[in-house]
Amino acid sequence: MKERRDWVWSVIAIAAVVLLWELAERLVAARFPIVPAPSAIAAAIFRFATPIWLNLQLTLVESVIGLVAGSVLGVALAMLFVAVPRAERSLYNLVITVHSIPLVAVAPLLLIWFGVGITAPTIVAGLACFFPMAVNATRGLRAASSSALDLMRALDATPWQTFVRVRLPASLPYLITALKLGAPAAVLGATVGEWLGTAGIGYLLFSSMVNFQIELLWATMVIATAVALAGYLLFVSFERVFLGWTPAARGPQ
Amino acid sequence: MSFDVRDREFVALVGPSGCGKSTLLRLVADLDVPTSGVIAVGGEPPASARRHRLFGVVFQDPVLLPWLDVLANVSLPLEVARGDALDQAAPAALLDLVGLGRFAHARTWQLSGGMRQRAAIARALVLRPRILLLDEPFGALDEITRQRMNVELLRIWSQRPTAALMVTHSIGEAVFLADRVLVMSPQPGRIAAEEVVPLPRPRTFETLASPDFLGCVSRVTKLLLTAVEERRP
Repeated sequence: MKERRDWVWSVIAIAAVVLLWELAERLVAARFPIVPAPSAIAAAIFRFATPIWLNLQLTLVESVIGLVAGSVLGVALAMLFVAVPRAERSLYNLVITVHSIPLVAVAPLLLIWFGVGITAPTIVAGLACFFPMAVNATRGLRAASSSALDLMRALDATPWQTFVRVRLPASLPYLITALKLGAPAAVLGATVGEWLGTAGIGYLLFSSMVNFQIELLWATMVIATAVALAGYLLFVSFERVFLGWTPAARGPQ
Repeated sequence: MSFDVRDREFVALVGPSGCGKSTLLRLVADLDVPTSGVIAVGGEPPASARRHRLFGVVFQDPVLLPWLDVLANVSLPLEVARGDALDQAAPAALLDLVGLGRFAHARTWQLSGGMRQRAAIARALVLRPRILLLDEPFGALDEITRQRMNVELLRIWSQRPTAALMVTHSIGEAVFLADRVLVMSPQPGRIAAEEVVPLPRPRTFETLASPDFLGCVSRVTKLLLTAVEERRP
C-alpha cells in the first residue's frame, strides 16, 4: 500500500512541475520561444506525429537489437569471467577501458566504418548496455550462497544441475537490474548513433536543432524520454511478475 | 579419533567452538576432503556414499531456495537424483509428517525459522537416507522453538528411522536427543569421552525434568569441562 501511495506522489510531483512550467511560460516567458510551454510541446507531438513515428520505428529496432545483442554478449563475457578467473584478471581492465571511450566519439567512427544505416546506431546501442550486463552478470553468477552450493554437492548434483537450479536463478535479480539499466541506455545509444546519420530519433533531434525547429526538437525529446522510460518500466514489471521471490520485487514490507 | 554410528542409532557430538565438530560432519558428508584417515558411510567412502545418496544433510542455515515453493524445495533431491534414486518417499507425505502439509505451496520467506528447518529436515529425508547428518540444525532458533523442534525431530525420526549424527554445542540438546553423546576436545580435535544416555524413548518435555536427564547432563558437562581443561597448559 505504501508503495502505491509513493507512486501517486511522484505523479503529483511531475504534474506540479509541468503545471508550474506552463504557468511560467504564459506569464513570463511568452516572448522567448526557446522553451515552449508543455501545451505547445503536446500540440507539436500531434502535429509532427508522422515524422516522429517513422523515425521512432527505426530507433526502436536498433535499440531492441542492440539491447539483445549487447546483453547476450555481456552474459557470455560474464560466463567466461566466472569459468576462467584468469580471463577476468587479464580482460577486466580492457573492458573498463572500452567502456570509458565516450559513445559520442565511437559513433562517428562506426559511421565511417559501416556507412549510414542501421548498423552503426545498433552497435552503439549494444555497447551502451553491454557493460552494465557484463558487470552485473559476473556478480550474479557468483551470487549463489556457499551453503546452497554445499547443498547441491551433498545431493550429488552435476555442475549443469547446479548451474540451472542454483547459479542461474540466483543471478536473475542481477540480470534484471542490468536490463533495467540497459533498456534506457540502449535507446540513448541508438540515438547517439543516429546523430550524424540520415534517419531515426537522433537524426530528428539533430536536424530539428540545426533547422531551429524548437517545438519539434522538444516533441522528439519528450518521445525519446518516454520510450526510454517505457523500456525501464517493462523490466520493472518483468521483475514483479517473474522474480516475486526477491526482496526487491516484494518491495518494502 | 575413531567412532561409529550404528543403524538407527542417534549419536550427538558436543564440543566447544573450534574443536572441529562441524568439520568432522563435513568430512562425513564429503563436503571437505580429509588429509588422512578412513571414513565409511554404510560401508562406503564418503564420495561414493554421496553418489549413492546414503546420507541426508541438514545445515544450520536451512538453505531453502527462495525461487521454489516449499514442496519444490523438499522435492529438490528427487529432481536432482532423477531415476537413479533407489528409494523415494513422497514429498507431500513428508511435508505432512513434519507438520507443513498446509504450506506446500507457500513461499519460503513466508515461513518462520522453525518451519524452514522442518522443511529442510523433510528434504533431507526425501531420498530415504541410511544416516541423517545434522549440523547444529536449531542453533539459530530461540530457546523455546529449539526445544519444540527437538521434540518434533524425535517424533519425525521415530516415524522414519535412520541413523543420525548431530553436531551441537548444547549439552541439554545432545542428551535429550541422542542414544550416545560423544564429547570432543579442541586442538587437536579428538573424541575425549563417550556417554551412553540411559533415557527411555519416547522422550517428551517431561523428560527434561527427570533426574536421569539432569544427571546425564551434569555427567556430560563434567566430561566436557575435563576435556577442555586437559588441553590447558
